[in-house]
Amino acid sequence: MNIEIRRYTKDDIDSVKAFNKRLSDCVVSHKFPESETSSWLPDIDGRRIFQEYFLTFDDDIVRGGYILKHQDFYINGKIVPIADYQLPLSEGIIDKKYRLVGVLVLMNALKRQKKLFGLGMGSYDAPIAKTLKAAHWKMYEVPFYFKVVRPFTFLREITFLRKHPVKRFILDLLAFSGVGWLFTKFYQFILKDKNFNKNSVLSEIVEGFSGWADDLWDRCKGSYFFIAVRDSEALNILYPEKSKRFTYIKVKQNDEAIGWAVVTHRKMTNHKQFGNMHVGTIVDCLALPKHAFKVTKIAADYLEKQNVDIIVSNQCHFTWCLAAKKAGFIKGHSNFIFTSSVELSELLEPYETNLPNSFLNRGDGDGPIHL
Amino acid sequence: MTEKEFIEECCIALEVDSGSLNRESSPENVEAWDSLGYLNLISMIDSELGFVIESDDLQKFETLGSIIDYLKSENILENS
Repeated sequence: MNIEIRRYTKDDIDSVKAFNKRLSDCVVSHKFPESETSSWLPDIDGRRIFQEYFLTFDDDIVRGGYILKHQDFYINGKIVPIADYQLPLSEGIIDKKYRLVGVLVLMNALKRQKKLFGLGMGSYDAPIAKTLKAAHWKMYEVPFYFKVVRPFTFLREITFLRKHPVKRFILDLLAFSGVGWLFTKFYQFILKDKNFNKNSVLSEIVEGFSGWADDLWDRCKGSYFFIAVRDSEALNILYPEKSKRFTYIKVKQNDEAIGWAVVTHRKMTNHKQFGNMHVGTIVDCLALPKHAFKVTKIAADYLEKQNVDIIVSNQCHFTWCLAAKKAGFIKGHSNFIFTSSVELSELLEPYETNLPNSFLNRGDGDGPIHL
Repeated sequence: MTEKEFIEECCIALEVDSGSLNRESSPENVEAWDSLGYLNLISMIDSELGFVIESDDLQKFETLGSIIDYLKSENILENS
């Protein structure tokens, strides 16, 4: 083998297509982008958030690749440039001859940026999770929350809970008897913050982020141990103005912005987890921890008005987790795993204390894909 | 560390039976020597011998013997 890893260029597109074809022929669902530049986060001069695509060649044939998403994070009071290690692919998953490619891809990524993290992965048993664990990366499960808005549809469509016939029977029983509805509404009622005065908080749909978001970022950043920079410049790159996909909600109290949320909603079709439900997602948000509930509640209320069946959210910071529960969300099984390289982990130690004080959600990593 | 001790450490890293590896062992004839196996070996060499194998060197190793010879040439393993 004569492995070489270099930046993806236009001339490599056909070879990437052939690589993807070999993977899909072996029923591998992942595919590498068939374009040399990121349409979401292109590497444009001066931008602090961008993606770089790298390919692994063996005698000019693509055998793997990976993406680095570069981004500034605020870690314990300092701005630190780090990168998200995305979509590491190796032909080794379908042909043992290339078993070394996955290792070389990881070593190459670490050569370019020692402070790497990954987000998502699916489970601790996923090949990528096992590989990173073997490389001594630390892992932390970012909690997953869901709020059932329409219990009947939820019970009938929640595919990942309906795989077993007995479970299916019980869920149908709960749906058709009305017990599921009763239980959900009772749960949400007992958790409801009776002191919350809806009129004290105002929300406004905005087209993008400007100075008010910078002021808010300056006020909030010190409250979180580890958080991606969420000033207006970063947000306008991640969430382009007048987006058709996302809705941006500015939350105000006494005429001052106290938070914001980015939400989206989509009607699923035969989704592997959500079946045919209309799913609302709190993609991203920011506020001081003391305002976490208000922002969560406003975002959830907005999505409920869009007639969603379920609302989902991933939140890492303990206050935001409590806020989700107070807003009627239930904690579910999370497949959203945060993992960090040895060098980044050192900055996050003690992990068990600092991660629950950190701010990570669905807006981090590769964003709300699949949602 | 002697060659014999190193081969035993490799057995632990690859999670194979003690004594089942030799100089001719390679990814081609050891099932456990997959990408995870590679990482476990690299990690063991780093932690036990304090030596970091570079990716360019990694490609040259076809057998356990070639790793041993390389580590000896770098005075990491005893030349016994």
